[in-house]
Amino acid sequence: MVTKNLPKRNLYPVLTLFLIVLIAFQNNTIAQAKHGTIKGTVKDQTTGEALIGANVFIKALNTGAATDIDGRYEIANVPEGTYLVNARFVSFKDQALDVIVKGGITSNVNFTLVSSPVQMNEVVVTGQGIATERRKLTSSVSTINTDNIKAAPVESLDQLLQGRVTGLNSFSSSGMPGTAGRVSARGLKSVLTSSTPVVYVDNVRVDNQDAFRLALDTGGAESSALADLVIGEIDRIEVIKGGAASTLFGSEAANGVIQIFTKKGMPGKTQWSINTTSGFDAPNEKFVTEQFIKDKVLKTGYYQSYSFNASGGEKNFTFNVGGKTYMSDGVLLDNMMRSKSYSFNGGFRALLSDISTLELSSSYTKSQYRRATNNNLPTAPYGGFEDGSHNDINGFNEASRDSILNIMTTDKISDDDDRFRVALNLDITPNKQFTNRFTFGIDYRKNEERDYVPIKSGLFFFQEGGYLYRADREYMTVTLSYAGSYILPKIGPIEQTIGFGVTGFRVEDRESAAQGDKFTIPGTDDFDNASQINAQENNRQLFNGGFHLVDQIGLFDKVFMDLGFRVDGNSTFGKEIGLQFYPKAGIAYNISEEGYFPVMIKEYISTLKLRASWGQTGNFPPPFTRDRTYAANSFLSQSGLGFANPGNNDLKPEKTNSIDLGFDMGLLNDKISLEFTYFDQLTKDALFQVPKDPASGFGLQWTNVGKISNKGIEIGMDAEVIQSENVLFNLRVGFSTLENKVESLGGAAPFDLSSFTFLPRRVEEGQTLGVFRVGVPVKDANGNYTGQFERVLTGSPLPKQSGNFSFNLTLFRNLTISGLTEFAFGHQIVNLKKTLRYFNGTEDTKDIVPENYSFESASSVWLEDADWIKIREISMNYRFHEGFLKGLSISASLRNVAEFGIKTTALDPELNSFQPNLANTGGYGYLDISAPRQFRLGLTYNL
Amino acid sequence: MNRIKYVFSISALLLFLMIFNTGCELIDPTEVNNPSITQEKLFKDATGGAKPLLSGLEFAFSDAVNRASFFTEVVSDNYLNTSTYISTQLDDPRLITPNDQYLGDFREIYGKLQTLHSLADFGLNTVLKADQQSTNKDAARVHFYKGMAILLLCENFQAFPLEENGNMIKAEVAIKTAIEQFNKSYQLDGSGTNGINNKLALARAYRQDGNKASSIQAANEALGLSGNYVYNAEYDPINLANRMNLFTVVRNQNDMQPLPRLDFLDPKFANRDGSDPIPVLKSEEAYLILAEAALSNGDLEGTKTQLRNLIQLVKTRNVVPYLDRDPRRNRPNNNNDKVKADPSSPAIGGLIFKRSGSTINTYPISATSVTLEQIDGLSDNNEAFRVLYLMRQEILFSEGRRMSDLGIRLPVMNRQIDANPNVNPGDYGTSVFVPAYIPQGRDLDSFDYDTATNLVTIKYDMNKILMQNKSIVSPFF
Repeated sequence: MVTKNLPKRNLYPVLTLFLIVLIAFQNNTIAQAKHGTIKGTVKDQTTGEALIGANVFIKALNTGAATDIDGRYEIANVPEGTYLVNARFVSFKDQALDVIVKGGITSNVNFTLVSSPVQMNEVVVTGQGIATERRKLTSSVSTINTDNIKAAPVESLDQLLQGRVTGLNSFSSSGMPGTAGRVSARGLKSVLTSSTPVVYVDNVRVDNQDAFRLALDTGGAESSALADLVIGEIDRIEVIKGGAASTLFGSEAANGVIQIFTKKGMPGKTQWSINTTSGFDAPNEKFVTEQFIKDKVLKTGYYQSYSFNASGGEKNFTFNVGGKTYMSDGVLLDNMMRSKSYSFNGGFRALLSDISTLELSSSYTKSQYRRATNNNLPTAPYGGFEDGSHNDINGFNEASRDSILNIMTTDKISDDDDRFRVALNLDITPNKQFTNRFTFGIDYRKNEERDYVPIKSGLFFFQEGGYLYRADREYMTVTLSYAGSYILPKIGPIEQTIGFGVTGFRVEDRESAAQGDKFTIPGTDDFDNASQINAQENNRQLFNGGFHLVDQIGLFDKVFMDLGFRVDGNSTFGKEIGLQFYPKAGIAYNISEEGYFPVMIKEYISTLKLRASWGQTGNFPPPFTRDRTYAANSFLSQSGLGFANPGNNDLKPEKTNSIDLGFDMGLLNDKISLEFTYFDQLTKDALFQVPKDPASGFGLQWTNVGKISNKGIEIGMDAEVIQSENVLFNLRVGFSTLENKVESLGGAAPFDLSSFTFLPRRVEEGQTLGVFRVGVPVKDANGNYTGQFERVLTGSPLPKQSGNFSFNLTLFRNLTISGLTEFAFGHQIVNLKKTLRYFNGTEDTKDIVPENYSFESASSVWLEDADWIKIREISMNYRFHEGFLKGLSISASLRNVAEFGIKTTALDPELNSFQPNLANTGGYGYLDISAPRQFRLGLTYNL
Repeated sequence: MNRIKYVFSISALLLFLMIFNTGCELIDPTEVNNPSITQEKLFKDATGGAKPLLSGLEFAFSDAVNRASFFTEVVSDNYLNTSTYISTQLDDPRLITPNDQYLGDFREIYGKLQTLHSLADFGLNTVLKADQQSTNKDAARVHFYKGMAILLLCENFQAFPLEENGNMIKAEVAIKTAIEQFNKSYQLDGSGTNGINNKLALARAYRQDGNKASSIQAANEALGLSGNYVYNAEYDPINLANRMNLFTVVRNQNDMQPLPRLDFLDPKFANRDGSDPIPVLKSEEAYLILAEAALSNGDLEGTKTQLRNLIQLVKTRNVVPYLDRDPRRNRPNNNNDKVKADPSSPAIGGLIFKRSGSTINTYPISATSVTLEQIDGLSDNNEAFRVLYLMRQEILFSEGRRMSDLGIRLPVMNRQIDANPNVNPGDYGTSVFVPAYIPQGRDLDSFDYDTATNLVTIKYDMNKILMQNKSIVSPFF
């Protein structure tokens, strides 16, 4: 199997040569003349606090410096002259001052910045091809900045994304440790592949999946690659939600891109930070029905964590290193959900010369999770009782329940993950116009899942003699890329910057699994003593490579346009499919900067940028689906020929065309920021598994036939409500809508989306992806049931509206109180807990199904509105600024605080079963444990 | 600090250059290797291909029998789906559509039978031709599997295509092809098990075709080769477990319950790991065919002789004790329970057993409640017909034969209609066929249970109804 989609090796020597040439020129420093120095401080005007890491720069010279831990900066070697010097810091408005520099003299210039939610000068990198200020962006890019990350009482990326990016949903799928939320941005574009945006860390692609193909079937709980990214090393996150903003990522970015930038430290004295946090997790019993669960199955679990961080360096070399370990006992008896994690991270930045900077970041995480069987598995300690199957009515009593629970706890399920990530970025800027960045990086992740059932419990777990199942997944992705930009000479009012680059990544995804059965001697828990061992493998490889070119044009420094394209080749495309072309175009108009913008309006609307963009992105098919393959079915100690995949030589990526229209607005002297976007996306060539004639022996063929649309609006508001020396109050609101529709099946028959037969989620033309098909009992004229029923398509598993509401309140500079609430409305869920309880004859469900109907013919009774409002986080932080406790902060937080507006019956409507390799529509609620209420108390000492 | 910076910078730069230079080796964009068996790999060296083909056919055959037997048992009066996620429409056969969640699944009866057939065709047309070392014995087995695929399709469906995008072929036409395949297989290898298999299969196929003389001849030839033969579809706990077992023994939230009259036969496959084989061709069927043929000729004594021989054979079959831990929920579950086959039939004891905690006997090959004395006492041809079909029901229990005996025929799966331009909705064979004599709704499985008197009364004795419609039911009448 050989792909010839790409220009191959000849590219790399050229790049290398180019690199060497650039480095050779690195001593070509700026011509010597009479020079002076500018130095001073950057402080918060309201609080007077030093701003650490603020940028002070002279645009005309393309030079600058960052403030150190005391807010001090120094720009040396400034040629004589008068300059406009800017100070810039995230969440603050820029300040520009005229400075006269004289040879041999140090000018003292102090800046005081005012905080503002309007961030028009913030520089965004991801997806633009060129580092671009917000005012020039033609599409919407969201960021989560350092302060937000630091304050968040979260352990994983998916939790961090919850409620912090408008239009991006990160809903909990399970309360089991190691699992991550179902992340999706602007709806679902694909039926057959995951909706999770691709994740980059320092320009290096990393694993974002929870689709472990040979994973244990423990009832819908898989460790996610999002759960073991190190939060402590994150400096900033940029999120692009697909469309034109992600065109330059080509065939992998239809779902959007999340890029993480890690901390590299700041010049100055080494800053130590040591934290210890302890607390407990209390089970969320709001959705629990059975008293036995509350009494015996759930318990309060303890939590402890220790972390340190050291950051500092000199002007030419900075570093940030950190480590964290935590243990959480979980809320299930016998610590069946205990998780432990150990992580270390380091980020370094070295100025190699005046024109070259090298950045290295690396992290290692070891996570150890214990899990119990879950959901509707009858062996599940939670689900197995919550489904009513062991109630008195079914012949059980407290003693027999105790003994069954005792057997359940003998099942040992564990998941050990090791993850190592490294990213190396070399920036070379031979002159002010020309920037170059070379990136190399690796993400390596290894899972080992084990499920051991001892001999004595074998029968209970449907395998006499017990068993051991072990599944391993080894994932490695290597990224190699080059990105450059060149500022063309200004022609009149026209400025132009060209961005260009080549990039390639390769994925090696190797899985193996084995089951050992019928242990004969008690006490062993590895394969050695199993009577029978059966093993399997599932390996995948893929390569994606491409290049991009983008032209960013500025007119009068007010109107900005970008035109660009990406060309991609990918080893998953069919043999008849060559390179793929993804174009984009956009325009942004900073209308409030125009002279004609009425002053009267400007009093209210201080900043206004209009923007429109159009672009294409792709989503490549899973590796090897293009190949016709045959199965070797293991059976009775032999291996037999069978049909497997029919293959498709015309397989290509799903292509999403996206139009974004919107505006970014600053109100009341930029005290309020308002962002509005309307998006209209149409995914063409959507991949469906189109059935072949059964008489061919082959089943489904991956074919690009469908069309799926997603439309909606996103509104984000960020307001500085109170800004005084002693009270700072900031309020943020996000709201988005979504209208998802399967526009066309391209002639293919409608089909189920991994479903229960009695109430399937369907893919049907003209309907929302995953629309439910229910049986509705028919009544006669007198309102009596006729015994007849109709099959009806109804509801949507995808929320039609979702959003968030959060605030930060800082009092007397010492005490900060934050809160975050998230909501989702307009969707439905199948309450499978109720169905199972009905099967088991519980009192609360016995009259649900009308007489003369079955649970299937009257399946509409199981469908419920799934609206929810959840208070995710409330936290408090108190910092001592003076006295002998100076440097100490005390924090207290509560996560998963409360739920409101719930319409489901004793079911957490947010939880949903995990479905590998399929659209994560949600829509099925089983018997999963809700995320616990987490109480934390932390002490941080900053040295 | 400067020194550290210097060392760090130089090493990082060297590392970067090294990696960048070797990058083209490390990341070779031109090479991905699909570890599966691709078309190219399959035909690169085709010699010896017959062996994996035959193993593959054996797997596909077991897979098809597994799905077919499970599916049709639920449709028939043998089993009722009491609480499972399986489509409840199956218990009311008139509600079955090509779209049914189970029938419409490629992994169920229709898809699996077509897969077996197309694999056999692929074997005959491609694999065996490419394998220079393949023998007549190999070809004989492939013809046998092809014949079995068609026979099972004919027994359960009215019409179906037998090639990709082909026309619908009626079962009464296709059965000739099955017969052809068995004869061809026998000609290529008439020895050993292949010989007996084909004779038993021929007896069954000729019966289906209504060809009494040939069916009798094949049945007698089969019995001549062996009087107590069983050919099984084999199962393997890990790779392909017996599916009936999942619903009748393991009952992991899946509960199927037998008609109370057949309680003593449940479960037929009691091994918890699902390794029990399912009998497909057995000498019992030759006697059943001979008895039916004799009865159709009005030869009551001849019928009784065959049935006596049959009972003698059944008595020699394996009996396996089984401890059933799972209580019957809201179902007859008492050793004292008596059953009436219908309201006018006598109450019979000894057919129902207490389940939770007591050991019962199970019969993995065959068993019957009919005694030699009952056979001796038969004096009426109609009653003999009822007893014959009761014995067919009991002896072939859990083997996926009853639905066909009831005269019900399934529609082809929806995909067959959607994906084949030559098959259209409404064509013959695209909707379920349920004879008028089959009770309405779910009454096929209905019964009353009076716990006070320990009396179970089944609503309809289907064997009596079959007897009343014997000219439609039996191919020999």
